[in-house]
Parts: sequence; structure tokens; C-alpha cells
Amino acid sequence: MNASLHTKRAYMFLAPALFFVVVLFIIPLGYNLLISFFDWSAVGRKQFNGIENYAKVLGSERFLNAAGNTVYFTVLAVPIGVVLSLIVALGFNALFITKITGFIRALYFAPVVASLTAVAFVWLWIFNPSYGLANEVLGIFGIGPQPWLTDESQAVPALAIMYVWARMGFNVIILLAGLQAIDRSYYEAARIDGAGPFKMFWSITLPLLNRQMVLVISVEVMNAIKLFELPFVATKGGPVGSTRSIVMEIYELAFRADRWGEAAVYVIFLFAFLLVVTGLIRKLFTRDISE
Amino acid sequence: MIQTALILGGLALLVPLAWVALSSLKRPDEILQLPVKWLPDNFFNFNNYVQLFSQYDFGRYIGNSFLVTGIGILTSLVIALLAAYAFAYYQFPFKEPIFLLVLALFMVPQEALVIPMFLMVSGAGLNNTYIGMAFPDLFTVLGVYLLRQFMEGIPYSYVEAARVDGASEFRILTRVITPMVAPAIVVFIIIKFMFTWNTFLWPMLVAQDEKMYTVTVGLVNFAGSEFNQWNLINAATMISMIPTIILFITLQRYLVRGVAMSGMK
Repeated sequence: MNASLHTKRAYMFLAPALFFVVVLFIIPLGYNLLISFFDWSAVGRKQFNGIENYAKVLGSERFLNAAGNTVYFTVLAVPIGVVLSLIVALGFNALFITKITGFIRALYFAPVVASLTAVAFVWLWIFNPSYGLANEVLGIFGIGPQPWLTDESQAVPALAIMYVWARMGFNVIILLAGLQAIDRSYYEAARIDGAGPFKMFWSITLPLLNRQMVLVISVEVMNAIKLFELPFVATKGGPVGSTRSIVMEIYELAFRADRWGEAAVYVIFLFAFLLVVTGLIRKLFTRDISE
Repeated sequence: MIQTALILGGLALLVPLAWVALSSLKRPDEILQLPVKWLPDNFFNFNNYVQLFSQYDFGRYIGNSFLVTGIGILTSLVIALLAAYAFAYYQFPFKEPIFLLVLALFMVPQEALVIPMFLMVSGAGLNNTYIGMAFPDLFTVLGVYLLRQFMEGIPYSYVEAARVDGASEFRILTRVITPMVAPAIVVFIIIKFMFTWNTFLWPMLVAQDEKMYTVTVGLVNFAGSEFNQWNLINAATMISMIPTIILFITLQRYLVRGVAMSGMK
């Protein structure tokens, strides 16, 4: 086969994928950027207005509130979720793999298969102030009923509980795979040198788990920032707008209020935010372990 | 000790699902009894489920979800196989830059593209069609990545031998390579099934006719109109989860391996 035929064939195999890369990603990204500079209504007017949408969005109470809620949710849910997952993964890693551990691991993974929509309904019922399980369980410990999702200050933490529950199994699997790939001889050597368990965790486990930690943290942050189903179903953004998220605002601005230009600006900010945050995570958490 | 702690933790995580399952078997008056009853009077009271399938359209929603998910799996699998074959067995200009571009798209969440994508799909008159509903799922970056990884583990000599025998490239892909990457295909199908089955925002936007609702959209719509009928809402939540739960129970090993695999390299 000559070189040019070879190349031609390769591109023939690639053509469908490249077509969809263009249609599903490149064109929409460009289109979104375009819309963000327009006063855009789905039914009628489409008028170029420069950076007016950007100015409008940045100065609006609505954007600041949604961005604040989303960040608050992320800062609450991600660290708790990652630390809990790491503890559980370390626990599994300390056990010998048997039929029983496989079964227990399945328990942790089960919530992952539920859609976030279903998760929202599961917890909406659990957090029900009168008939829910949450207050029932608190009652056993002598704690009075809590308002949960119906209270301005408790709503975001309640959403974070739902999210951590739904995502934990996924993180545990990835971290556990990373832990099991660590060569046991490192620990033996450290033990001979007299290192304690904390020291071993800090100087062997964490550095060698780096790749999986970065992956888990990035995926979690991305998922948390695009929070939508949980508040959409469980709180409708309330009470008093305390759970309105960025993606919820995108939906409402475009599909309810017909203000597509402003919604497109929200998308741009969402992107910029994702890029900056995931870039930072890589910088902060990726350690050089070649030494 | 660790084992006991892990078992207790795992059971605690299962309580929310068990609570919904138990609640879905209660009668309307039973579910609103105080103090809260943990267990239903009758464990075989499936009236709520019967009602959702007979008086409401949940059978149809499930069918729609299967159809949309099936379309997404089929097209994205075929496209990924073709692309992965080119990446694994061909040398061509811009190969690695193109692959990196494809990989970078991992970072683009679907939610962030709903605005232009909705305008494109409705502009093409695909609202309320199955193709329109499956549109963002027709192609998945993960598939290309997983299959390429797996194909590169197969010795190149298999491809060369088939070429010497005069097999066409397409035949080599379908008859030689595809059977050999079957484990990766299974993993991909499971992950893709889970993702597509569970999406909500996009089908909600595109399916405007109730006849087209997927099960997630149907669930939210139903709960909105039958506000406070918690026995039915719990049963509907269960219905929406049953297919992925069955998938999970039967193919757990592959699912776990798939998640671990996509996180390893």
C-alpha cells in the first residue's frame, strides 16, 4: 500500500468521528460564542449588541447568586466526597480480596447507577419534613426535626449530601484501582526503615496515587459545577433562590425567558471557570514523583 | 474490624434505595401514616406499579428510553470502532494532534452546549424525533479512547497476516479486530447505557410531546402533576432505575472494571 492511499484510508475510517466532532462540538462552541454577542430571541429579533450581554450578566444579582451557590455547593461536596472515598478505598485496599469484599464493594457502587433525577426523588422523599426518614433517624438520637431542603441555610448542604451519596462508589472504584497498582515492596522497604503508617500514607500512598486523585478531583469538580438535576427536581432553585445553579439559570434564561444571548454568556463563564479550575487542580495536585 | 466498618458503611449507603423500594409498596394512606412506618403491610402490593403502567404512560417512557439509548450506543460504537482502528493501525499526518483534540473534548460537558445544539436540532426540524433526542449521544469520545487503548494491545502481526491473505481493511476490522476487542466493547456499552439512560436535560428540551418522553423526563413530569402522591412517585422512581440496577447486578464485574480502566491511564 503506498503512502497516500494509506493516509486516504485512515481518514476514511476517521471521517464519521471527525464529522461528529465538528457537528457536536466545534460548531456548537462557535455558535454559542456568536449568540453571546447578540440580543437573541428564538422566535424573532437577532441583533448584534457587542459585549452588552456580558456587562449585563456580570452586573446582575442573578448571576452572582447562581455562581455563588454553585461554588458553595462545589466547595462543600467535593472535598467531603473525595476524602470519604479515599478512606473507604484505603479500607478495601487493606482487606484481602474475597467474594465478600466484592459484594461489599457492590453496595458502595449501587447508588452510582441511579440517574441524578432519580437520586433527587430518593432524597426528596427522605428529607420530607413530616414523613421522611432523615428526621425519623435524627429522632432516634434525640435530635429534633430539621427543615432540610426547605430552609435557606440547609438546602445546599442537603444537596451536597445527596451528591456525595450518589458519587462515592465511582470514586472508590477509581482510587481502589490506583491503590492496588502500587507495588507492595515500597511499603516493606519503608517498614524496614521504621516508617509509621501515617508517614507511609503521606510519602508513599499519596504520591503514587496522584494520577487517580487528580482524575477524581477533576471529574468531581466538573460534575459539581454543572449541577442541575438535583436542585431542578428537589428544590426548584428555592428557597429564596438559595439553590439556583449556573446551569439552571442557563435553562431558565434561554428556554423560559427567551434571553438566549445572556444564557450564552453564562455558558462562556461556565467554560472559563471549568478551564481555570481544572487547570489549577492539575497544577496544585500533580506532583513530580520521578525524583 | 475494617471489614465490619465497611459492611456497616455499605449498608448505610443502601438505606436510601431500600427506603424508596419499601415506600413504593405502600398504600396511599399507609405512606402518610405517622409515626413513620419502616415496612409496608404487604410486601407484594404492586398496585402502585400496576397503576403507573395502566393509567399512566410509563411503559411507553421506558420504551422511548430504550430506543434513544439503543440509537446512541449503536452509532457511537460503530463510529468509535472505525476511528480507533485508524488510530491504532495507521500512520498519517496530524494523527496525534487529532487524537489530542478528540481527547480534549472529554472536558466539554454536554450541558454547556445545550443552547446552540438545541437551535441546530430544532432548526433541522428534529424536535420530537428519536434522532433529535439521541443527537448529543450519537458520538462519544470515551469510546474512541477505550477502543484505541485496547486495540493497541493486540499484536500488529494479526492485521498484517490478514492483509497478506488479501482481506479488505473493513473485513479485517469487522472479522479480526472487533471480536478481539469484545471485552472493551462490553465495557463501553455498559457505561454508555448508563449515561444515556440517565440523561435528563437534553431529552426534556427536545421531547415536547408527552408521547416522546424518556423515563427520566416522564418521572419529573409525573411528579410535578401528581404532587404529594408519594406512593406513586416512589414507584415511578424505582421504575426509572430498574433497568440500570439489573444491568449493574448482572454485569457488575464489567462495570467496575470499565470505570477502573477509564481512570487508569
